Amino acid sequence: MTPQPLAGYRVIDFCWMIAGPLTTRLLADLGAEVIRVESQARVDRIREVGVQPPGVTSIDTNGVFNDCNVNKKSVLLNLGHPRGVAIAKDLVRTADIVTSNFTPDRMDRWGLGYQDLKAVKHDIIVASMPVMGSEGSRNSWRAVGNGVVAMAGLNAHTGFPHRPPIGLGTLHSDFTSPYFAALQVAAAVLHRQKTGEGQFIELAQYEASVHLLDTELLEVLVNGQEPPRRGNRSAHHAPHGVFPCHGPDRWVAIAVRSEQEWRSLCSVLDLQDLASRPDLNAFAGRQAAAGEIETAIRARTVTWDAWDLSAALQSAGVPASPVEDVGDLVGRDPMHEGFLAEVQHPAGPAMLLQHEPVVWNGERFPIRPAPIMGEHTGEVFRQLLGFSAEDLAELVAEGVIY
Amino acid sequence: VTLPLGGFTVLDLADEPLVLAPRLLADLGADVIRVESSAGDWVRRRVPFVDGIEGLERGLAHILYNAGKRSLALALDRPESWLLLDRLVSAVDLVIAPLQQSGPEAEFFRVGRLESLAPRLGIVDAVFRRDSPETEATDLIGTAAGGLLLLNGYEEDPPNHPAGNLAYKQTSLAAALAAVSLILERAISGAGGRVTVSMQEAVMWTTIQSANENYWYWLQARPNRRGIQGLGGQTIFETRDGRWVSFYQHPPAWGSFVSWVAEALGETRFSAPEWDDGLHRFYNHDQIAAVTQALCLSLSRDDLVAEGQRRSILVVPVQGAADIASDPHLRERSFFQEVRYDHLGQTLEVPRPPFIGSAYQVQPGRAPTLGEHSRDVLTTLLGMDPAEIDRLEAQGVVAPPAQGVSK
Repeated sequence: MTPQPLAGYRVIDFCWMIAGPLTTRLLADLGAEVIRVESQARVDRIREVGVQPPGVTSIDTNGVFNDCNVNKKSVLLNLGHPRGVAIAKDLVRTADIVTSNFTPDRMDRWGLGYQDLKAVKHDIIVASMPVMGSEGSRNSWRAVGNGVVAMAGLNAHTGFPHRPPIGLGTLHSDFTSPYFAALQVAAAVLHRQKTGEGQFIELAQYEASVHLLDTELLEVLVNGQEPPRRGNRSAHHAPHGVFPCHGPDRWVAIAVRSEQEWRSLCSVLDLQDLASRPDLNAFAGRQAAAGEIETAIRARTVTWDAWDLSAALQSAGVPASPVEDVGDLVGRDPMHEGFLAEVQHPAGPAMLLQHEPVVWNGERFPIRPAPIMGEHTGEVFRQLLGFSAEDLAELVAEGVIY
Repeated sequence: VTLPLGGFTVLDLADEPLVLAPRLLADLGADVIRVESSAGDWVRRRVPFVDGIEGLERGLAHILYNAGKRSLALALDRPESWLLLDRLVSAVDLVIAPLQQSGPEAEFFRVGRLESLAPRLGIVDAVFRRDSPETEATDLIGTAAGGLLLLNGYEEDPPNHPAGNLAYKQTSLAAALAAVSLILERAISGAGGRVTVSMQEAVMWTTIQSANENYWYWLQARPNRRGIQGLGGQTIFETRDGRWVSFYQHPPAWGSFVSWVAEALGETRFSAPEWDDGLHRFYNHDQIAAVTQALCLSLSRDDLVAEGQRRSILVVPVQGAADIASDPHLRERSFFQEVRYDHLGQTLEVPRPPFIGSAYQVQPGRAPTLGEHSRDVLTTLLGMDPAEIDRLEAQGVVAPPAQGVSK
């Protein structure tokens, strides 16, 4: 059993889609009791979209939703109903942390803004993850992950100089913002342990994503120069690229950081003519001859199996990897055993859920399947708020539990 | 106001893949002591530099990733230095390892050794691939191994290395959260521990949402790079002024888009009832993309975004670093702050940490000069007297503060 440093902490989680729920998943993995507040009146879209198992159409079974919501509970509560908001505040009174990722004023309009919640629980930690942030002239702008990375500069600085900017193939910021946010929440917990003080934390996903850039932004701010797109070349390493291997759309990535690695690469690929050239010993020479070197490498790699070549290069001390696709990662790559857990979903299908990319004293965090929508409504309202079966039936009849 | 990590000390032996992690802890108030080789490490040596002039104190990566840290410069090729570090681990709360470990580093971080030396120590360790002898990794290699590289680029091109060193970033983000988790755990149990991040798994965290597709429909659909095609069809479009936008057809905004193109282009085909069906739109996304492109070419980027956002449509500019640096929204949020670098004779503008809290304000720190805090660290953490430090300096174990730093 891994340590559970947030055991005993309760999170009332209003998040939806990916970035918010992944944040609270990170907290749940650390032992926090995360209670998702959901409603048929406002179904988390990520329950509805995404790949479903064969023959199943359910808001409980798609893969992305399940990845984002393991180890949580789910209660049904209609925030469009005044009693729903009152019950939400009652839940917050029992809690330590509240999370949301709506546009900035949504929680306030429900009467669940920071001041409202602080009045209910003086030391509550409220974390909000709007795309743009609550202040600033573009605070109402809307975007999902692909727009966030476009604003943050990742598209504009990726790709070959003569090509249009490239959209990343994923909603990348949805998987990075959660770490920034969970880090701040964990720090806020430490602050509360030391001072007894709660707080409001705002993490604008746009700002967090700007921090994904390398030095491009400082090159503008400090030197007044915007760097060009470099394709697969590097300002530091040469050769540095992605080369075709045997088979359709099979590639190997290679990066050479030193003369020693250059000699090892030439040895593995039988490029002795290049290895013997003194002008290629140093980075500057190899950078100047990048086109020639890449052509020579391509002529060799194309007959290799990407996995065999990568292993040969790694054995020789050269950074290399097959360019793996998701099928490789799930089905072929033997090197991450234990990262993907096969979990039997209570609604039927078995599915693969990802662990976090860490082991703690050699062990993975435990994984419980994501909750069926409303799975814990009765349990949570009985245990935390003392509701009777009659109370619950009345709330269902009134459309509060919906 | 004391920051949340105030009072905690971190020994930072990170290499480039992890160097952001201790920076994030320094932002939160931790006393981060960066252990550097006397000659200056790679993060200091890599291009680009302030004003394009090479120098150990001028690297933009150093200024970015070492902000707010202190510097202890040691001759890391000398056993005496590693003995000093052995003493230091008992005086700190956390130690952060490099991804690539060989020689004395590998021995220093060997599983079980630090744990017995300092049982309350939190150790953040890292590997390229879990349970694998393969260790040689750069950011490009990390993105390849984690499935991210294959998703970027055009089908007719090789996969494209994404900007930003995203494999390093993801590894560092997981490491930073692990570090705070270790601190939280020690407050409860009193015990230290070791959290080991895998770079490959950290990158997979950003791509593996497709895993169930492969599990349930084994390899029937191989997610691949699609250039400017994105979620649900084309998402990147050129505008009238030759710039670019990210334009996402968010289903709830479909009606607003239909009205817009009818008003702006006289395009009314989408008013037909079959277009209300999301599946019909999915199968005919080429038609939607063509009209979207025509709409985008009718306006400049900034006018298009302003009008689209007014209509609740998810259209935003594709921005480069220069756009971001001049973004009025970020300026209004005080996202850029000045940090004084006396030894460079300059005040540099840098982005502040990406969050705002009501309990404390976090500001970017200054990156240290090489060895700037060596004496101070040895005095305060190990209780060394000046004569002993003089002796270590004379022996070349401890580097004196950087000489000849250009003013």
